[in-house]
Amino acid sequence: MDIGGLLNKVVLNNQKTFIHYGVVTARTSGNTRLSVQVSGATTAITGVRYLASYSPTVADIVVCLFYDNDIIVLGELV
Amino acid sequence: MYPTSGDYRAAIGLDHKVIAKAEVWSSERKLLDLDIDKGKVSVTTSNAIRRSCEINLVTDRTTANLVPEDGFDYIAPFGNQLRVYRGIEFADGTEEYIPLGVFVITEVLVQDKNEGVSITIKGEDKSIICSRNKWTSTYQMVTGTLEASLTALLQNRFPDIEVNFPTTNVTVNQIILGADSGVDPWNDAVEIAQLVGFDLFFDVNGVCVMKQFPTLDASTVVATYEEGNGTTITSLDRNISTKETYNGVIYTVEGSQVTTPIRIEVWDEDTSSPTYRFGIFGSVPTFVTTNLLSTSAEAIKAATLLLNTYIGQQEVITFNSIVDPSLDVNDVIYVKSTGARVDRTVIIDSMDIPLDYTSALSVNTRVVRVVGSNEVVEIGTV
Repeated sequence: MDIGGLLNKVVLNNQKTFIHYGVVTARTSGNTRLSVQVSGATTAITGVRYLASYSPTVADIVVCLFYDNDIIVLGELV
Repeated sequence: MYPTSGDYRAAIGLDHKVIAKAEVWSSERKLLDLDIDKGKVSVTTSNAIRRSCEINLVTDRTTANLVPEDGFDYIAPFGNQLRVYRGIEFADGTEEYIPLGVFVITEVLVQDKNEGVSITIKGEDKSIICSRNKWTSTYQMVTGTLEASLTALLQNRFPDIEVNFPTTNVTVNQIILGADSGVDPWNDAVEIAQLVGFDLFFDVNGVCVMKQFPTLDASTVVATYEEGNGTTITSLDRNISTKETYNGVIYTVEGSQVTTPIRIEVWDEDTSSPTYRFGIFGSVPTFVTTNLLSTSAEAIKAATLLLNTYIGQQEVITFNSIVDPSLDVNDVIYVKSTGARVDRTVIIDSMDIPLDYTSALSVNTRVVRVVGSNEVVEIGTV
């Protein structure tokens, strides 16, 4: 994509947002970060941040928000 | 510009014998030489895949032997590559070839005619290998230098890739790619590089390289195209448009890995510029949001580099000329034409390099004005 296309994408606010589900495999960095296996992947994404309202536990099924190239865990699916 | 000999430089603007060749390679093994009748190599900064080629082989009694019977034949489009060259044969019989790219064969057209079998081969540079290998699951690009992070990303999709990246002194944050299945990893890599002010592409030797976007202050003029005796220009068009002109970049850095959101504004504050922010053109900002960077200094640098690429785009100069295959996109050249009132240095945006001796080189350029450090007018956090 050229710069024009790239900037137009951003100008038009075309950043992509997705919801994926995942499993918490670890809590790291003094429980401020998580490792999450997303959409059944065998490799976990590490260093993921989460909303303050969520108290993570390993093996939680969580809702992950992907915003363009970023990921945040919103909370546990109960 | 590809480095050439003094003899080549002396001969390129004068009458000379044009030579061109193409070779078929499988990985690092040369399989075949092809006899080119005509064709071209197109190079552009406006596509993520920078180089493409189309070559027509000489039609004679032997051409039919090259027609692929199955997917493993030499010119079948299943992995074999073309290396294309154009050059000069000097009066003493010596030759100097300029490489025009390494292309993965993507398409073969065979036509059976009265005069024989005609074969046209199309190819795209090696970025197509990365581009076709779409993300099959999420990929985590960990925090690190831009060059290390991009190397790891590209090797994930193209393990045999050869890279030659400079030390960028840019640290990029962790990001996640491939959340949307089927996304093109090469596009992702090019976007990441562009967002922080770098150009990512495969060069004429098939090596993946990264360079800062060109600015006239740091560049030297590599070729001169001046009207008058000895001119090599055959025609010139000039188009002045503000369709894609911005005179400000609002650069925002925010994301889960960014400690504090950052906002940078860079504007054209040169009172002598036609796109001066407070002139009659007015303020025309564009906006970039990324989670790649972490510091104001990095964001200022990236925003300034992006403004450099946009601020001069009010004017496009297109010309045809005698072919110099050593030219490349992003080369800085000097063009002078009295009729079109052109007398300036420009940057090449795209060009078509013909492989036959009758066709002209077609070049599109843009005018660029350099943004000074005093034009960073607002730095702060939101």
